[in-house]
Amino acid sequence: MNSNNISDPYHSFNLATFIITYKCPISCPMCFFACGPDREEVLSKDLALDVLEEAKDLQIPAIGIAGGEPFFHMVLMRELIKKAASYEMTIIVVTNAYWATSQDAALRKLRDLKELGLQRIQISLDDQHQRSIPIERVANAIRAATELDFEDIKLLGSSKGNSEKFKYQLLYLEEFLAVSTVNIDLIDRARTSHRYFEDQEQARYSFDELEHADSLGLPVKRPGDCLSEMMLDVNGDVYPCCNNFVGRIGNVYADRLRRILENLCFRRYFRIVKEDGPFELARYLDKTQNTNFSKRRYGNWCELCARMFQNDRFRDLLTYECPVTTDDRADNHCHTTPLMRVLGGHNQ
Amino acid sequence: MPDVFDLLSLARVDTATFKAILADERKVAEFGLTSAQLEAIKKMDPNHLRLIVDAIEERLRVGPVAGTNACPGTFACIGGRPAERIPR
Repeated sequence: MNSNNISDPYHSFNLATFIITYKCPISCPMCFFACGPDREEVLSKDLALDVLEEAKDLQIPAIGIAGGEPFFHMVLMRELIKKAASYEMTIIVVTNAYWATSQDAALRKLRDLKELGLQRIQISLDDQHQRSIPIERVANAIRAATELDFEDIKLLGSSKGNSEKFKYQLLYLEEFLAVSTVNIDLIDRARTSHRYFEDQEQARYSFDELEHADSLGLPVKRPGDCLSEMMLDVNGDVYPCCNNFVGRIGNVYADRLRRILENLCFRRYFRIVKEDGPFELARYLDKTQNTNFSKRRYGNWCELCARMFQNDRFRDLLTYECPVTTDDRADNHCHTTPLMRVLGGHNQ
Repeated sequence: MPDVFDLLSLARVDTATFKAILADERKVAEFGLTSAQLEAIKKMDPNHLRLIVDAIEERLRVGPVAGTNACPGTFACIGGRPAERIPR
């Protein structure tokens, strides 16, 4: 990737996802943004391109373009792909393939995007989407992406109630629609949604079990490197994760992206989660804020984080500052403050 | 309303019921199948189906989900082959 900048010390984000619209042909109950046919919100083109340029300067190597359904806004999507390709960034589009009404239609759309620089595509395949999107359209999109030799094609299964049916949807693709999925990655999305609090079946692990899942040999895994994806929401909010359950870190209408990311050095709770995961923060909130996060059961790490930040009191916790020295700011460098000092510095 | 995927599921887990449904037009109608789907399902060998679904299950098992329903968190969404990155 071309960049005039030196290695950026402020963040470790590997992916910036642009939620370009909330409009979608369907309304799925597990949707992070409650997207649907009546939603008209669209990310401003100027803002999107501006943030994209900043992301490039900040050496974020990949972008995702998602929604809602990004194919509803082809002009914006094309602009983003073209620009990101000129920056030599990896580009991923996430879609439900509603537009792939025929093999020819799918080929036309994807050829156009590929010529602009799109290399990777992710297609939703699950109970909710397939209630409205015929699976044949998913097949058309896969065939087209395969024929056009996309670098990476993924099928995203998802969420509640999907675990059984996903297998048979894949079977249907393979056996009935003759679409080989051998070279396609299958990903089951996290079981988190605005309704997941009602989904008690997933609350299988105690707080302690979750924290020590590796040593206990439990089949739940730490979600990789926490807070290393960022997401730009339609309204300009920036989240340090792939979803909007975690707390916001800023808004690009109010601040430049660079400034938002630079400031992360001084965001005490961001650093706690980044450096130690969500457990220390949960214990701290229990101790000081009369919460009971450490007494609950969870399905996975992400759920713990989501439960904390879905609480209105903690929605903007990641933007709180921690004590830093003048030297810290002077050399624009994040000196690690021992966790307990950071916690001890909090006074509520 | 049940759909074609529910019927395929039945073919694997309860072959007797599956066959009984296929023999009953009224019950088949409840699954909302197209005529092409119905024809294809009638031709399908449940044993073959079982093998295919077993293989799919295995792919899902060794993939990023690994039975956890958790976000893979391995940047599987960006690239690479997640199944190869997750130890069994």
